Amino acid sequence: MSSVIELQDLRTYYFVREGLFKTLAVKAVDGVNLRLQQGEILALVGESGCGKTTLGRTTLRLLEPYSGKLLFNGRDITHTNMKDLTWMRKEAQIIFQDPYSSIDPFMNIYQILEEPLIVHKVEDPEKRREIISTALEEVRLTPVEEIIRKYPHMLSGGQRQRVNFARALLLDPVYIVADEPVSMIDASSRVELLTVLRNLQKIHNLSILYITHDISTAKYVSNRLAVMYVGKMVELGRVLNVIDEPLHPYTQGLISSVPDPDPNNRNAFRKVIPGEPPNAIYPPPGCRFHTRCPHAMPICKEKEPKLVEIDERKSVACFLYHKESVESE
Amino acid sequence: MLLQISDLYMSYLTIRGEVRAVDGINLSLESGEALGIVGESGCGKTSLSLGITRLLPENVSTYKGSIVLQGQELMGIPRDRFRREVNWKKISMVFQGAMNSLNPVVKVGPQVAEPLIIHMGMKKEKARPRVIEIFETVGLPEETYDRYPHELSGGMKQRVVIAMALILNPPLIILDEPTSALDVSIQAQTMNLLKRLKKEEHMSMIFITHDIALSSDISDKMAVMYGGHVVEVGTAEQVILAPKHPYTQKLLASTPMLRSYSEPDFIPGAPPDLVNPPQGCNFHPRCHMAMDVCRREDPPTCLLEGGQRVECWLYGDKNE
Amino acid sequence: MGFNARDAVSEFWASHISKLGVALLVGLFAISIYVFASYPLDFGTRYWNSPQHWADYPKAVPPAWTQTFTSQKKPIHTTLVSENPTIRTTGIRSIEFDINFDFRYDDFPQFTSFSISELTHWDDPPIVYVSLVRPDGREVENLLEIAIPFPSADAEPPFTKYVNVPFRTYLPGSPVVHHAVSSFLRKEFDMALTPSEIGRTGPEQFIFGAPDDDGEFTTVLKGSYTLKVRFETFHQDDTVDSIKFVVGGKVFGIMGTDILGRDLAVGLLFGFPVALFIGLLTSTLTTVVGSVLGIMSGYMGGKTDNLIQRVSDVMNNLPQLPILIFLVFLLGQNIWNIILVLVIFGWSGLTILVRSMVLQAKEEQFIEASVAVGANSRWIMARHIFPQVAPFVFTQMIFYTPSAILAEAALSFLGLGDPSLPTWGQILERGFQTGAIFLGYWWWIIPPGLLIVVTALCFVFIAQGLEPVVNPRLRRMR
Repeated sequence: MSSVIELQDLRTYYFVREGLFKTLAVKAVDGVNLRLQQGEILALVGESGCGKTTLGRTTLRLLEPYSGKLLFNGRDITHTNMKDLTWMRKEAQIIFQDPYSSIDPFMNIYQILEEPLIVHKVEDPEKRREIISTALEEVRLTPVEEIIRKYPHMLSGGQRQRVNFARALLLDPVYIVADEPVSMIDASSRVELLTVLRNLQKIHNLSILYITHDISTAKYVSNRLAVMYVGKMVELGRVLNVIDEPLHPYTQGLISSVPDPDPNNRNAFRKVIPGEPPNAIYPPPGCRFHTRCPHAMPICKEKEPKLVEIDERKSVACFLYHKESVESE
Repeated sequence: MLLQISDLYMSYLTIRGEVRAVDGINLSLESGEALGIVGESGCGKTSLSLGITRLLPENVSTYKGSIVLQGQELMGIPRDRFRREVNWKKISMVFQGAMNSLNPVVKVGPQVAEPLIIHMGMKKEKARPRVIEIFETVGLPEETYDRYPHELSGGMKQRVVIAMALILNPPLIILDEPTSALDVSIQAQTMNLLKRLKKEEHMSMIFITHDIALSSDISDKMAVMYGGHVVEVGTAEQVILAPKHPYTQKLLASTPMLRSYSEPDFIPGAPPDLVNPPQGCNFHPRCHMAMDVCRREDPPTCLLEGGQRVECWLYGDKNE
Repeated sequence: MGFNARDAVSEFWASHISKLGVALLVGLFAISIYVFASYPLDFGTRYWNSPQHWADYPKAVPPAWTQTFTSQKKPIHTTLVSENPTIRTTGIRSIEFDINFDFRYDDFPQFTSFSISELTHWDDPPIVYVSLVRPDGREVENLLEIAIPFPSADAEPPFTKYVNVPFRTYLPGSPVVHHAVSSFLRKEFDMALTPSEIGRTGPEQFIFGAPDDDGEFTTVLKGSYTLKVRFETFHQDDTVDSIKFVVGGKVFGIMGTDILGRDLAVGLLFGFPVALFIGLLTSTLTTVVGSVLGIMSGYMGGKTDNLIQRVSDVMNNLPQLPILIFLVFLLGQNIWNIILVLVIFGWSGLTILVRSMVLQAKEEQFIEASVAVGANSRWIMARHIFPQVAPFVFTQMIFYTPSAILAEAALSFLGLGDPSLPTWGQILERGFQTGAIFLGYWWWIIPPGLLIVVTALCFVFIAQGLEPVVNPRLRRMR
């Protein structure tokens, strides 16, 4: 199976100015290797500042990598000009998190959905109408005739998010980045939307990068799970494997921090990860997690562990499981 | 009984009409207990908290009922006296997004000291040690006193806000979605702090959230709200392990579980319009067990064994 | 955002100020349309600025309605025309016109004039004799004796004259009249006054007056007067179409006249469409330039942004009025130059504002969504950015309109306006130059000033009403 997206030691940095002369690098994504296969849903999980959003945008080439390689369906697009990537805009799409600010409030639903089609030169208005109707039906926003005439403020958050889904489907892409698509939706409707997403993936054999901070939804929707911490990928594997038997101490801490509905929860203190996540401008030396890790060893302060495949489809970057470090390349 | 709320009604006037945000609520809370209010956006939970603390918005139209705190009826107290005697001294509140509403140009310590200076007339020098004391309780180091909000992380800011709510030692503290803006690991730390406050300081609290799993992390008692009503209330065991109301059942079923294998469910449709609620039971349009009577008449409050209360026609014969 | 047309309109309409503004605007437009339909476009050059057109109008007199407030009734300007002569063929053939009129005012006419229109003769030109019969029976004989000039040597009969331009005699300035009045006074009242003395005082005082005990002609002789006009013709086919006798009033019309006799009501009326035209055209152009540059600057960033920002900073900080004066002086006083200059100096303020709005708007997620879809900058600027700033820009356009009107008025007032167009500023300028303030000609100064202010206010009211629509935070809670 060919990979839709391939990242080789990818780094994306932001540069901020401090004072008049100093420029600091925010190392948002700092050396990630990943292969996203055709037809798979990969969940990218992590807390704020881990770089998952930046990584998602980089795979769409909305941001330019600082170093490393980015391949889309085998084509190297690492430093290609934005102007030359119009072909890619058809094949790779994004679904945003905020249903309130990701659609133009001054356009009605039809105009919003028509835009990608016009930009990509679907000239025939009849054809456009057809594509839009099909997309709306697929995301269960019906009756189509009524919906297309409405303006965003007349729809609920969940409905607007479906518009986002529909927009992503219009150009028949192969790859979609779903950036926290249900985080701003009511809990009882989240699963509904995620079910729609799952079905869409099945019907169109899409490859989806599902970015979320909510690891429980990741379990529901994805095949594989990748955990990020301060710009690095620390664990990667089949979703049920990672959740049931997390290897990396960070993943373990993350999972134990999330409660399931259980009346016994209140009677015991939860095992938590102490401290706060470090700054992406000045990450700690060696393993970035060592400052908060209950199992930190001396080597963790000096060397950075590499993401190594431990067994069939499970990889972890931790000296507890292997000795391979980044420098020993 | 620390707090007893009876027949509380609250509505607002908007362009579209009267919004019946709190539509006849009965709740009670013992000392040292945590009551979790669980509900989704638009169910009235935030309005309920504003009603208890009498922080009424400008366009409020109905506000009636009974709120008895430590044996004292709060509803009759005139506004000025309420502000002087009850607000922050007897009930304090941590608002949703409060950590982002800290004054960015004032150091954090003096901000926490403010209630001491205003309500108790304390001098600034005397207030400082008290603030440091509270900081210790919530797990903040002493240096935090002289920091500005932007120098603190999200978790630390949240602790500052909690400290501010505790500074006058109120018997009751209300927290409205205190962790929704925090990362999961920081959320767990904050919940541990609340657990410690409950256990060691004997804090009584009302914890409002849309996340029923999170509510179970602190609540002894849980009340599920829908469309301005409390549709179910009981102990955490009762509500989570033996939910009686179809909404509670569906809510639990639609929560994706990390530790068990089940296809999560969802509730089709949308929350009711509080200007024109449906006739009969508010939930009947989305209820998988709706009966004929549900469409016509408001369901009665039914008392079940163990003190569990449910507003549903399914238990109509156990009418209160 | 919750922004839709119906809400916007009801929000706008909610305040009384908006209603007032719209009412005024409708009024302004109605008057402008009326003027546009009833007056020719070259009204300025053809009529307003040609003194000949206003010859028979009284000079610098207040409006007629001011009479209602005074006990002393001033004469109202009267134009008498006769087109039906009688032709007498006994003796010398003569064409006779008789005009009867009443004069019952408390003050003398400002002037009188006599005009002949369309005269045709075949032989020698006719001779005109005019006399006036007073209510007291006395007749001022040979008040006018006019010998129509001979045709030029190469002309052929019939000789038709005074078709386009009538033959006009201004009585106060005519020596013949002075002599006639002098003779009249000697004969009827035994008064000896030389023609030059009469010329100095003005003959109307004697023609229409009666002496008091001291022999001073201070009282008006009220009653019926008859003007007798006799053309002695030398050919039986000679004709005269009409004659006109103007009794110059001391009040005139709705708004009075200026020193050239121009009907201020007409001048002020013409000012309406001119003001609206200048105001709206200038503000539209300024807004278009300003917002386009602001959007480009804000969205595209980089060098484009730097360039536009530098230029607009400089333009914004230049002192507008002095440079305005200098440029108009240099380029010529013509309305298009004025508009051009106003636009050149107007766009920079808006660009700076729009740019900051765009900087904020472009961070919205739906912009990023469009980029992700592959839309190019031009598309995004037009389809997504512009609607975000459009309400604000539109309000600014309304705000600029009065500024443009006032700027033009200022320029005209300084003498730099377009002389071919009567604008309120021009009228004001003429008034000040003539010393209208010191001479007490309030009707010349106050109305144009008031109109400028009211027009400016009209737009300000509308802009004020639009503000809550544009800025949701200002909306009323209902």
